[in-house]
Amino acid sequence: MRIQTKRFAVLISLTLASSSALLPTQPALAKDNEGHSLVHAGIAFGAWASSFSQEGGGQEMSLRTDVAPVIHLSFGMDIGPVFVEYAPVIGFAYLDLRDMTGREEADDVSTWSLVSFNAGVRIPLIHLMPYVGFGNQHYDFRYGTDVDFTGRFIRAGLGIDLLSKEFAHIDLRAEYQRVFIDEGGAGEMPDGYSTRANVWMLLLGVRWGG
Amino acid sequence: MKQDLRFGAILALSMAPLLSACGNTINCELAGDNIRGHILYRDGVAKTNSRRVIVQVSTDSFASVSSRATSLVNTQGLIVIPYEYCAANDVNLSFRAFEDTNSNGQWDSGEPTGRYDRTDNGNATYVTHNLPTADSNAVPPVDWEIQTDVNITLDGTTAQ
Repeated sequence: MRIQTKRFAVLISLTLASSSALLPTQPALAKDNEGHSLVHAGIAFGAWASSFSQEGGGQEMSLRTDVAPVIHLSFGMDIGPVFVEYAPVIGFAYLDLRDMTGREEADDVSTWSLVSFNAGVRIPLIHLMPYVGFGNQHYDFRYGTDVDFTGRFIRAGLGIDLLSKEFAHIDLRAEYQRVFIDEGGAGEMPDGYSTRANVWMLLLGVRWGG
Repeated sequence: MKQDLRFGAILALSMAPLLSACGNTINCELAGDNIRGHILYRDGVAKTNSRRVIVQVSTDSFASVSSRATSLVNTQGLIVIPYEYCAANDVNLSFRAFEDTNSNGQWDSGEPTGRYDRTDNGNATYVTHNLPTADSNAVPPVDWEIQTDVNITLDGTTAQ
């Protein structure tokens, strides 16, 4: 847990350092008639946590991961206040199994998504960005059963521009994802058994354009 | 030239164990294991973590056990666990599984068990699979066949 905290601190300071260095720049981005850019790109670091559960056959199980680092990218287009973006995500977590097994054991859990899209609106006066998204997400246990669960997800998030200068912005995003796992590494998950994950993310990043 | 022959001999010797292991090791490496399914837990099985599940395979409906197909460690206490197995071709294959609660490698009375029988309790007659050998020169060509949904349900109500 201490290692995770240190990792966090490094990521957050990296984000702030890169953002302060890059904010004054004004990249040559395409603009509309009002001078707003038509494209945007961003990188954010933050924290994720999740719960995972299975049900079926009269049985159920659930577990939670610790809070852990996550990296989030975004590349998108802006049409007036509306934006759409491609937003791949990768996160690594540590699952503490001591409560479950009574032994000193740990497990790595990772979540990542290369098929991930968002659409939302930017509300100019209050600088809020509500958005929704969808895609396909991996939720992997590295040890023990060593399984790569995958499934479609839906997402809802809210962003806010904390600081804006020219074409660069520091934004904070909070996201919730619901992953409907239908593939368990050995084919489709069997009928009558459901597997799902809830993923929460808090992200601080820099965005250029938009 | 002698070097070439020696190299060929070494290569052939080194490949022999791979080719003879189940006849499909290379195919499984290239195209994926040909038996895929899930171990399913149902009510009546006590919940524990770090439980070891052993999947067994037989070519004579478990008059004898051919081999241990695979062994899984269910660290997270899942109730749906995927498994895969590289099976030989042109033989009748049956599958069963049990939870090796006391870690002695064999089924003991009281340990949750189930058969691959396409039921939701794993207590019926075995379903067998016989996967053909892939042959791209055959007319028509025989593709590498992968059998999915070889699901085995574990419950705590029956003997193996």
